[in-house]
Amino acid sequence: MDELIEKLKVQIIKQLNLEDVEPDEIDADEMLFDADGELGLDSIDALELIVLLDKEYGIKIKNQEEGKQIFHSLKTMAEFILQHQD
Amino acid sequence: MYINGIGNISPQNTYDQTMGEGLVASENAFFVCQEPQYKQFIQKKLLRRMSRAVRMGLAVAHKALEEAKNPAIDGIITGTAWGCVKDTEKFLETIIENNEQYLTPTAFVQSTHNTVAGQIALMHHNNCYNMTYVQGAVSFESALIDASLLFMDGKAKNVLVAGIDEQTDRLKILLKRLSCAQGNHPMGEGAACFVLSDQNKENSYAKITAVNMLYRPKDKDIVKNSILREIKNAGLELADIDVVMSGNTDASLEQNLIPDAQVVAYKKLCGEYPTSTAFAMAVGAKVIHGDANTKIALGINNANPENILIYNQHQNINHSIIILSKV
Repeated sequence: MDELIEKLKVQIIKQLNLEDVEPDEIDADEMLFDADGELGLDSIDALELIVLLDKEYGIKIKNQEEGKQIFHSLKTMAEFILQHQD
Repeated sequence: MYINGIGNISPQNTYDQTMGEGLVASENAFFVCQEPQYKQFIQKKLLRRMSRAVRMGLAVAHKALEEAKNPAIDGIITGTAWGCVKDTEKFLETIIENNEQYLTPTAFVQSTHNTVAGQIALMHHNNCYNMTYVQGAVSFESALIDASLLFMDGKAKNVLVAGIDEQTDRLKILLKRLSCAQGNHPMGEGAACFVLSDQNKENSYAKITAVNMLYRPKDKDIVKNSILREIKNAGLELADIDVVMSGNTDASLEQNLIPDAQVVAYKKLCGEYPTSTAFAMAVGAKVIHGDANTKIALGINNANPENILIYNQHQNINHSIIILSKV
């Protein structure tokens, strides 16, 4: 799990072009889509993350409500990947 | 039209107005822009999605508005030939690499030519007239003419007009292959933005007294007559033109036509790119306004030039004429 979270941090920084953000600065429990948060991701980032999950882990997200839970934090993303990877 | 604010990012140090303090030479036949720290006026969250063309466009718009004391803007008009080419490349590369799958929205959304004008409008919460001209080597001039029409129709008091083109490593290769570089000029890039107004203010740099363009003129006489007509329409005599800022490696046409004017080559400072006349207009306006450093950088001898004619052409396809006059 920890290894996957670290990998996700690097992938997200690259995919979302998070300039000046280091993997160590991202808290695995931090809300990804909190407008006042450190990362402050938005709806375009959500699309980028959906593509990332599909491309890197072969997981498709079909339900919008499901997406909200999955992308709550890095930890929830990692848990979802571990549950759904073949 | 009066120029009341200028923002200029170029291969020289023009953003902070220090061009005369040390000129930057081209590297491997290419000029690359000296860029400011964007974080001072673009939020970090927004900055990460922006390519250089967008960043440069926003920065020069910010500077021009600041210089003009942030007037209400009635139009945002940009000219660009290459557009946001970096994002276009990124999007096309992803299509190839991922076999037309897993396409992400950011590069696609930002790859269109009108991204810069759109982002300026978003950043300044401005929903006024918004237009982008993609017209080869006269993209910037097309934007200028549109602005002049807005003023003529009484639809605008202040208009933001910009010329922006960015280079990428891949574009450099393509331009070489397509023989787009002409003469001895290195290839270049840049972004220049102007707050144009129908009113002469105390901070006005210069007045634009003529703008025109020609498409594939059959012979040199057509070009000469067009230049003469623009000078006349500007209410000037041939002898009133103090300086010709030429974008051509062979400037014999303009030198022979206006023998008493000093002809200077502006592309030695910015390189060859489709909207280079925006750079020429920015530095020309500063010269007319009395900027000694810019005058030295261009090699202008006249102590106090009052009328500057900018003449550029690209491969005898697009020709353009702009006249700047003292206010």
